[in-house]
Amino acid sequence: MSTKTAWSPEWVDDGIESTLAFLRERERLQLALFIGPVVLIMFIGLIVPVLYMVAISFLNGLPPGAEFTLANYQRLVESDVYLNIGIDTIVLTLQTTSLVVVLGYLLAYGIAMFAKRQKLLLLLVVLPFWTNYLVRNFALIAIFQTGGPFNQLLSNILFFLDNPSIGGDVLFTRTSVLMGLVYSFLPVAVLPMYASISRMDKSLISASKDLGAGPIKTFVFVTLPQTKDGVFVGTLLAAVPTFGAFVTPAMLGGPNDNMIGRLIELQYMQVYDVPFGSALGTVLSLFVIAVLSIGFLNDGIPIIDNE
Amino acid sequence: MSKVNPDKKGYAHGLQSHGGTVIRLLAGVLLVLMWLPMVTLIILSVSADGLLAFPPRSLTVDWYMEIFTDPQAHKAIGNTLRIGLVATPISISVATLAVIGVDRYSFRGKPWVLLLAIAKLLVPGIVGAIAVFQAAETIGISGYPVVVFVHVIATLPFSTLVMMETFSNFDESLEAAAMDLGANELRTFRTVTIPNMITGIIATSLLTFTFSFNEFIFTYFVRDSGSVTLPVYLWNNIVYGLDPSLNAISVIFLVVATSFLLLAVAISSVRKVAM
Repeated sequence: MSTKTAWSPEWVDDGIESTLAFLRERERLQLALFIGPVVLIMFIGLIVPVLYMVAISFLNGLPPGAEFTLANYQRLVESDVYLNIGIDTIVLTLQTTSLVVVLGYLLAYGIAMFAKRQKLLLLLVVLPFWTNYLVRNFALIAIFQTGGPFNQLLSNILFFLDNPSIGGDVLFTRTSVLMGLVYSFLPVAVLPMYASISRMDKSLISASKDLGAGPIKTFVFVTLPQTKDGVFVGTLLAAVPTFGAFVTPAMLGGPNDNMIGRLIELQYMQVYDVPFGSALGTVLSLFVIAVLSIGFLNDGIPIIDNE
Repeated sequence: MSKVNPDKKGYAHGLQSHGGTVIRLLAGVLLVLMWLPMVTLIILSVSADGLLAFPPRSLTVDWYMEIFTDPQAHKAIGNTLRIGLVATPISISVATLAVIGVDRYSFRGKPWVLLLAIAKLLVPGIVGAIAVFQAAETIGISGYPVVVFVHVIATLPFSTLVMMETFSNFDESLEAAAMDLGANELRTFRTVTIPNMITGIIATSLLTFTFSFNEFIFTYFVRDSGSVTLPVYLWNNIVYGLDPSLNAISVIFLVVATSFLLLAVAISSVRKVAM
């Protein structure tokens, strides 16, 4: 049954109606029209380029005319420099992620359990995340510079040491890189943890206490297991971007505070060694995929299983 | 084992009151620490004593004026808008189609479609960026269209997740009613589905645009000299010479994020995903 619409001529209506009639018979085609664009875009835009990157990592130059080689990977393994950067990256990722999860959980717990104006507080947590990543890191330069607020605050509090430069030498060290990473990824990790803490059944906490468990025991055996999904997603949201970070070490680190991400950027933007950069990118991806798969095998894919 | 004490404060949640005070205090300190850098930037943006002189002795709005008169900053703002205003509707449309497909049809590989839509979250930004950069280089395309394309990819996970939330609140029986009354699918979509979800779609668009407005890593690799966006301009300024207008540009990012997020939260339920 067709309906007249006032806004289009009859032949347009007829065209639409016959197209719809054609589609009604073909459910597979309908589905293809709906999910086709996203599948196509992500394949062309991400999957194929990443596979292409993996392929280049086994070449001695750019195609066409390049030959197969393992030299890019050999260079990675044989040089202490790259090995050290790799270890530094892993250590920084572990440090950042643990700090983000502990501090983020504290923040989420405080807001979910004790705060009266939860929406406002949550907004205050999230706003830094919605503000540009570069801006957040630049703000730390402003804070940590010699003679900046951090330096002034510390030398005023610790005035008896009579050392005006105390806290003024943090910038461009590994400490400032760690602080930058934590500051960058804390807001986004709070959200899933807040969600799972506010969802959990609070009467379980009362029950545990009624049965005689202390606060620590209750937290470890009741609250934490109930909110582990949120902790897991929070961990991922901090660990994945930290592992590939290049902006923070570039802006807040000194010459010796490199991370793999920064090393990759240099291969593309300054050294122009694309195959070696691709090899670094491949190793980085494999690492992330390995960690994610372990997590997913244990817990399923959190964002999708929420349905 | 400790004894149960019903007179204790905070007994309703079974939480000890002093524990609550400590957590509240620590959370408060954390929030202040999170905002300290932002507040410092705002103060510095009106400082007349140079880029990083703290605290400022005299105030000025010159740095804000400079952004609007400097041709390079001007161009960067223009590019950012030209890219975001095209990439956002594409991203929203693709995400909406995908969400409808996943919501209304049953098919094998459904989790894989969703995984694909959010794949960008699971790949470190730098890897995705260099991969797309190299692929575009090989095909021989560059500049504006590639930048728009990477902005669609970069925003898709987010727009998909938010549209999923928007759709889950939609009452499908309204569509059935419209069809029963004789409207075809297209008309039902146009006059029932869209109007019912319009606030969700607008809110998602605002946030997706903010995402695109902030996007740096992908853009940094694939842009050419003609498609420098505001974040790339900011980066160049930070790395190759600290221009005093940096603070003012930073505050612009803060203002855009704040106003768009507040607007989006005010008009719809995207809060559940966005914050």
